[in-house]
Amino acid sequence: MSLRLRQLKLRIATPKGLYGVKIPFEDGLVIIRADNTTGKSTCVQAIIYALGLERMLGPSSDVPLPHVMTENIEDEGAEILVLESDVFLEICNERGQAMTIQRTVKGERDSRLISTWDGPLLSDPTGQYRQRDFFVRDPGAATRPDGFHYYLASFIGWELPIVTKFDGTECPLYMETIFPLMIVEQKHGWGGIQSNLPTFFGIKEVAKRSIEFLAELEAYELAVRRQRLLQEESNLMQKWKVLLAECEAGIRSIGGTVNAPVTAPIAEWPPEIVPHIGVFRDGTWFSLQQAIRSDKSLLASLESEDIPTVEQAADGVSEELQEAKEILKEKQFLLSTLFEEVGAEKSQFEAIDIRLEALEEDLRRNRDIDKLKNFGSVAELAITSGTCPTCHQPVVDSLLLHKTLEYPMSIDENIAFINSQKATFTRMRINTVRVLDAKEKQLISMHAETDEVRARIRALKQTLISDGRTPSTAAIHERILVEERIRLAEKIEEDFDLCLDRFSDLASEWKSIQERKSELPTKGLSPSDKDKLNRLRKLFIEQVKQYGLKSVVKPDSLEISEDDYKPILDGFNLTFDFSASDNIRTIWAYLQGLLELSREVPTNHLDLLILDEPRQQETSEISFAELLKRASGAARFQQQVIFATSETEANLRKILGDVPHTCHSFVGKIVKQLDD
Amino acid sequence: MLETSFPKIDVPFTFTRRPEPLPPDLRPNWRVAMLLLLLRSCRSEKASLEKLHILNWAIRTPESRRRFLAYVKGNGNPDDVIIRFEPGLNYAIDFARGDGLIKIEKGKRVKLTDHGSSIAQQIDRNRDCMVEERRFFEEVKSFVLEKDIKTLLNWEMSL
Repeated sequence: MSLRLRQLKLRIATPKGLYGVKIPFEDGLVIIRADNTTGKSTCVQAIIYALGLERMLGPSSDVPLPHVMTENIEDEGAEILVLESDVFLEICNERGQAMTIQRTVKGERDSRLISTWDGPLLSDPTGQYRQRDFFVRDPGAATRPDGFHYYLASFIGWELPIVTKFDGTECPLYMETIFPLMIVEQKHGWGGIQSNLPTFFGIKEVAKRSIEFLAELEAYELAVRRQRLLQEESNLMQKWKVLLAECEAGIRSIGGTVNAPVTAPIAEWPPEIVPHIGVFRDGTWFSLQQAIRSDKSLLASLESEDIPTVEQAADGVSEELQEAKEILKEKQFLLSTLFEEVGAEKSQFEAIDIRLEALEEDLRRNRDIDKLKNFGSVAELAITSGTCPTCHQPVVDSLLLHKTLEYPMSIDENIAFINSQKATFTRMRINTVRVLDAKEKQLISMHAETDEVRARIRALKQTLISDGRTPSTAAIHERILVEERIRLAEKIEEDFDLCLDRFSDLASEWKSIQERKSELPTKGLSPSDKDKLNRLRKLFIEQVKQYGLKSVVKPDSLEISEDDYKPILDGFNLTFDFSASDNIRTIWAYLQGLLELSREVPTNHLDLLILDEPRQQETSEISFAELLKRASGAARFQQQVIFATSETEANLRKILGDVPHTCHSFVGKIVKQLDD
Repeated sequence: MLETSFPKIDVPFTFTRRPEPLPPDLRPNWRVAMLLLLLRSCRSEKASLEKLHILNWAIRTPESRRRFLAYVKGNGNPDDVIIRFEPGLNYAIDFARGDGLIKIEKGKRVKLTDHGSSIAQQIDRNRDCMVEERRFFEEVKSFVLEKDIKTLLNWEMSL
């Protein structure tokens, strides 16, 4: 895994011709020297911009480059308008493959577009390279094949892990969260270790996750494995639900319902009470088996007698007809009652849905208010601070007449209030769905039963008007009806049993997931993680001594926390009572330590470290000299350390002595008129 | 009798004032932001009070938005659009004017000031804020010109 820079090129088109700069980067220690406010930071920012990482400088959608790239260039006192500008960056990976990136800063091209060439376009412009375009910034830039970070990750050999967000969803560990461990930008980067870490992605424990990934700690592997198992688990739950729905669909034609359904996966199949089919008959619920048994005994008793002739049956038939008409009346009454109940339940259901929609809307708007309030210019308005813009008296946060509502909830309270209502209504909805489902099934079987009675009445009538010697239609009809009912019920039961068998496979799959889950260690670091942190600690202590850390009497008592992998002293983070210059030293030591760690053990480090103006807070010259000495070791390991600094040339020469390095020193502005 | 069935509660009482919930569209922040977005969607960022009131009423709920859209696109029912003048909007206009976000031209047209216009632009740029509202204004924009508002109001009066 590695990423090394080969060349940076800024290209600015103006009415007076092309301006810009080309900076080649070699392996080992590279120093970019220029006076203050001449464009050093512009170069570092341009590198960040070219890699599409500008969101590590903040969530704003503005281009993070100074006005020399966007508005106008100052050249010998004259202001020259910038017409178009681009950043080019040539990089290479571990396998020595080169890639050139172009990103427009100002111009017609969308700044979310990144063009790449699969070769060293800057150092060898004559070659034939394939050009491909990608996008950045949009959601999906890290996950979709046409997203730049997706492509960049595969180029440098990273497999971005999936991490959990605060809202429970998942996303890749965005590159913007990892790079603050390798690129320190001057404006915000020197506040502490990872002080440029973007938090607005809403990733849980993002600081930890990024260090775990960079140092390739097993803790991270474990976290990923746990994530994967959770994914498998949720997939299986989905399959389980689908199968259950399939079972239910199969029995719908007889208005059946699944009794004792197993709604969530279990490890042992069959369960204590095996799911079975219930049917609604003659006003109560029976199990399907009971219903089949009673139908079978009815059929047996019918079959035990010969089919009577019309003459024989006549008396009984007219009595039966009367009886059947009574039954029909009764059933129709029950049917209409049930029908009304279903109607009532349905309108209840609709009312709940309307309510839920309204709650959803209220919730969304409340969240919008929350966002608005934190919005720079809206936050400055008088209404946001609760005062009247005209008379500057306090006003209630409401548009109602003030007397009617004296004490409205705060937005947070209101959001919590709506959420609790939403939860209640969601539960009510689930309940209503269940009731409605049962009632509708009842309705289906009631309809079927009523139809049966009607058919029987028809058969009875038919019997009464036929020839006296023919067999009784009513008796034949009844037999056929019962036989048909049994046949259908048995078929459905058979299908249902086949469906149930498939649960047994899912159950064993579930069991295996649960077993693998319980095998994962829950706490503590693995031996190899401990070893890595120990090595990091050694490297860290070695360096802080070398750089002359003063705030700690015994640097040997410093430790690397097993909780957040940051240096601690007696269990506390260092920044707390450290002098500003010691704070800078710990940042040097930590980031350089991570770089050196990757020489000893396998990590995901890119063998690259870029520090913009590392000499902050008047850290002494001696410390800085030691840092340069230490950083120059990078050359021996095919690593690259780039420092941008404003030390004077004479001073640098003195400090550097015989430290191996390459220095690009600029006099005056870095961005100059180009000859070509 | 009462003594026996209701035990005496011998503790000091305290009263805690509970805050009351408030629909989000009655919050000045929301309504002013809505007003800014609404004006931003209008020609030269200005609109008559009537238009503001009509759209203010139309945007209330998902249902009212659907109906209004159907109506202005010509496939609604005559009773779909009922016009209400809600005092809350007038307050919001006052607040926005006090904060220097809008000005009133010739006593009848409300127009965004430069400051208001830049804030409206910022809200508009934030893609995940007031999504439905912006979508609604975008959809309705070309159908609700000032002359359409006049027709709508005349039709109301002729009933």
